[in-house]
Amino acid sequence: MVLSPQAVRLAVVLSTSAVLILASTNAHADASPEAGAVGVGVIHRVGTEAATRSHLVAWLRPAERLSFGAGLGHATTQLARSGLSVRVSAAADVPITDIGESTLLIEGGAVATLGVSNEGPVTTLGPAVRLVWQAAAEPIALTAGWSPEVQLLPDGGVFDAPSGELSLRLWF
Amino acid sequence: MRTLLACAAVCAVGLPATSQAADITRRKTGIGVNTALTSRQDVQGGLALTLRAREQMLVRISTPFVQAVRVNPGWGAGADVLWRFGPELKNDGTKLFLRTGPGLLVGTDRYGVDSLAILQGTAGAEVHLTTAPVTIALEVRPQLVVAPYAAVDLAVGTEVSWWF
Repeated sequence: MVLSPQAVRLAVVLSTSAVLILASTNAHADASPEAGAVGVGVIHRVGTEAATRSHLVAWLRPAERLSFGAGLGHATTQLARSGLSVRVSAAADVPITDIGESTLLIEGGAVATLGVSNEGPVTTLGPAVRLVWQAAAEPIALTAGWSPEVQLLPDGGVFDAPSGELSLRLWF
Repeated sequence: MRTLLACAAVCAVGLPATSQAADITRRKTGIGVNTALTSRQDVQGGLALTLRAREQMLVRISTPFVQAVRVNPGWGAGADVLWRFGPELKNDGTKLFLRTGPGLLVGTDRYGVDSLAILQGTAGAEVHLTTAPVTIALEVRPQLVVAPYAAVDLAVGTEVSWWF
């Protein structure tokens, strides 16, 4: 099926309007943390090429919709079964809708871990997409997402696509 | 009489009674759940009883499960002494404290053959909610496994407690 230029223009106008309306209706109730907030939390990642990996993370929100994280935790990968790693991440978020007083956001970004393990140094790198539920009564956020990664191992790289990520964040 | 005077003093300075009730920092006993996963994929923790022994010194006992260096499942208990301190960040009424201290885990495998002994340190954050007398703690615990094998490990843990 080929769409006419008028239909394409109409679709662009309608979708833009929908996004603007959604953004304007959400603006008054957005519970997401303000610029300058700092946060702490834990994040767990499970993938087919790695057992569960956890990090204790500190977050910084230098600007609206932008978060950076740094954490300490496990270095588990396909080969490595024990070790330590440092995790760094960056993400930008957009509010989707309100759920009662709370806000649902979608967040996208990148994650890297640098670690040492029983199998030598291990590094991982990949994107992440998360749904973020930000509570209104408490500064608590729960996230669930997809975080595929390339695991750079001493004997080569492994791409771990089927993966899940859960986190709890507390903002101050 | 003293109670009346205290109430009068509180009313005089305009401090609402609810803010005192919500200050769970002063409460004595916390009951909850504590779990941690180590880099060796051991799971530790269970039910947690936390007692505020001194001003901001907590004693935490957790049981019944402990695993170490792939000896699992195991049974045991842990005890930690934790000191709670600043920076006491606030977001409305929600507070954030840091806490740290030493601890140990002891136990056996399920057959009672291998003994498990782990020395650990704890460093983490403790958040006091406003809407309920609940704390959420997030921790990293560097560990020295003494038995049944010698090893080093790192646990990342979470604890949720209700305070009385």
